[in-house]
Amino acid sequence: MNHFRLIFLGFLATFTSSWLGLVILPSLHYGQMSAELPKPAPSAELDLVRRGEQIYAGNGCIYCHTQQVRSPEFGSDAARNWGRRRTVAEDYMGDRLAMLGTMRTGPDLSNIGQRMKSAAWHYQHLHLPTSTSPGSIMPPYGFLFELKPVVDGKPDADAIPLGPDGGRTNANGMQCVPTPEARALVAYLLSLKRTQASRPEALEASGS
Amino acid sequence: MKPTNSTQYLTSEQLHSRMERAQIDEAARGPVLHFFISALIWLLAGSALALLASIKLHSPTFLAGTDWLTFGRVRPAHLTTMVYGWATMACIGVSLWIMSRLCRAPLRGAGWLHLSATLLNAGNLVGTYGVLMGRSTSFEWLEYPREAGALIAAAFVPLIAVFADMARRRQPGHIYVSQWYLMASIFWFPWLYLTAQALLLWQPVAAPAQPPINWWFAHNVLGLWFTPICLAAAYYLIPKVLGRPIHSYYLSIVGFWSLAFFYAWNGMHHLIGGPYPAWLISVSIVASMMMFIPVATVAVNHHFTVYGSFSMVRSSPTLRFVVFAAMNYTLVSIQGSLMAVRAVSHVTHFTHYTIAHSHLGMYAFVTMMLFGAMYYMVPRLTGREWPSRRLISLHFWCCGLGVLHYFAVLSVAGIEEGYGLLNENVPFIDIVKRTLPYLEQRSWAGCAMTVGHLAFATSFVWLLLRKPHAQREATLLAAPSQALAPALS
Repeated sequence: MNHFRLIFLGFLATFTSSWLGLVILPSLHYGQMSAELPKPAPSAELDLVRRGEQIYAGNGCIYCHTQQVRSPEFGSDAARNWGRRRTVAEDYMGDRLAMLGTMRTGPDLSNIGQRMKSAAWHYQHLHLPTSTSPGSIMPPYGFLFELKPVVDGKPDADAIPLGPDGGRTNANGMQCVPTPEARALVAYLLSLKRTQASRPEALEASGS
Repeated sequence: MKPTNSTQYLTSEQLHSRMERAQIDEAARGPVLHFFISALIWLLAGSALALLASIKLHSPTFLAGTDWLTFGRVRPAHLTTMVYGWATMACIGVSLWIMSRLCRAPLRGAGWLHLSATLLNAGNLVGTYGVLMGRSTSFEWLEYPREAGALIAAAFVPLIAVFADMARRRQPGHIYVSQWYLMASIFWFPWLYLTAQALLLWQPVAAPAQPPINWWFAHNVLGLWFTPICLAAAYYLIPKVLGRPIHSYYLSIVGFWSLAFFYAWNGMHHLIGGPYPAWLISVSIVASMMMFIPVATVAVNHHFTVYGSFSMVRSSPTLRFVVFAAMNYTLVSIQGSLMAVRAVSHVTHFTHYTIAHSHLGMYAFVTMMLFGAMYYMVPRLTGREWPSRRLISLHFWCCGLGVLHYFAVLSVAGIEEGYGLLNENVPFIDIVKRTLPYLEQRSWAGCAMTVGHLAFATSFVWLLLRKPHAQREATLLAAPSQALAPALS
């Protein structure tokens, strides 16, 4: 074949078909769906959650944690208490980034805000995962915490317990408190309650 | 390079084509070496990041105190430096040279090509820095922050111009299948990349639309960028080294168009079970199954071209890497098609099995093919032969056995992990603990591959330091059979 223009048209046609079908069509579909939904009111809380979403993204949590619950025919998600129904596209409408994830080296986090409601637990877990989850291979995020002197004899409410006795100050009288990044990240994690809203169509689709 | 004593028998026509080839190689030397040397530096950087990430997964406290060395930053930095630094830059070097050889048009615009390589290096540098500083976008295969994406996209403007210029100046006659693959890929990749950058980073679409676009990109960057270039290299190098034409011209055309048509529709099977309508995912499952057609045609075509010359696979460094890569192309493609089947995905999704699969593709196929192409091209570009057969051998065995070990241990880990995840009675932490020995083995495999890379880099630098035209015979790994010797390299 020596007709270069014809060959080139072939390159164009094959590629455009998938571009329209897999990129443009879903973008328009979900774009329209999102435009029809009411926008969340701006608040300091929402800003903090959005900041936390960035911290979650920037530190690569997605490489070990999914945020999607699959129907019972696809696995033990419900039995592991990861969500009471499968997640559907609407469950991600409030997000800036849909971090569905592709690996479950760690557990699914779709509803971590519901499963683990305590901020103190999250701080301790992030600081040293094995302290709350023995055997965990999650990296410790010591860099999300800083040592600070105690002000007026009152330790910070979110300071990490440092010793086996649960004391919050070390030998030098310093306490280990979460950085603003850690606070934002935990706010984001606590906001994850994806299957809280009732979506009958999802229950129907999952056959439960 | 042909033995010197054959020169006296050359006809004037042969002499002319030899001079023409020398001119083409001369014009390509500077820019192609710029791309190759950059690629090699990124390969070493990517290997260091890979080892770090691998060790951290089974020893989480290793270097854990430093924010920019945390697993979640090092891992995407490894992937992106390998994809955009190593593989992309090496692929461009290979494409430029094969294209100018096949068009019989010496490269023009060397300055523009140096600019393109510089932009890519800058993009990778800025991007890696951004990822390590905690600014990853969290879109897999697209983790570099926006500014790096813009630099990488800009690098393709001069490249497209140079390719169009070569296509326009090509000598009249038949267009070989490698040219099809190369012209298509240089057109497809910028479109893929710009679409993904625009819709995910510049003007982000609604959140639920992001994962389909992400996987459309991530799957097609392999299928419509790395795969076509590596297949073009195989289609060019296997007949060249063996001195015989490709088995079937028609099969190569069927293979090309079925790849173009079906590969583009892959990708959504990464979202099986996810929050999407069934049609979106099913269309990719069907397209994945249809990938058997291009894969089978390429496999049959290559197999029958090499058939009967397996002794040359032992002696020619190029052929050894290329045939290893081509065999793994068949394997990884068949595996990929099967992984898109719901029953298989049921077990393997979300596990290390996927990581094993992606390394069979990006490493055992793409990276090994690029090594093979470089073994053929660099002596022709520089007039210097490879200095040490021991180093080539070390390179081949460390990387070849390394990646097979990598693949084996992670596949088993993934299957075990998959069945564990399905069984609600197995506590999650037990699954994690069971994968640890496999993850440790993966680190050892990574060490072997890194040793291979260091051997190759040493070989490369040593070659550049040699006097040009000091050695007239190609460096071979074993004595070839007499009749075929002249064609070998």
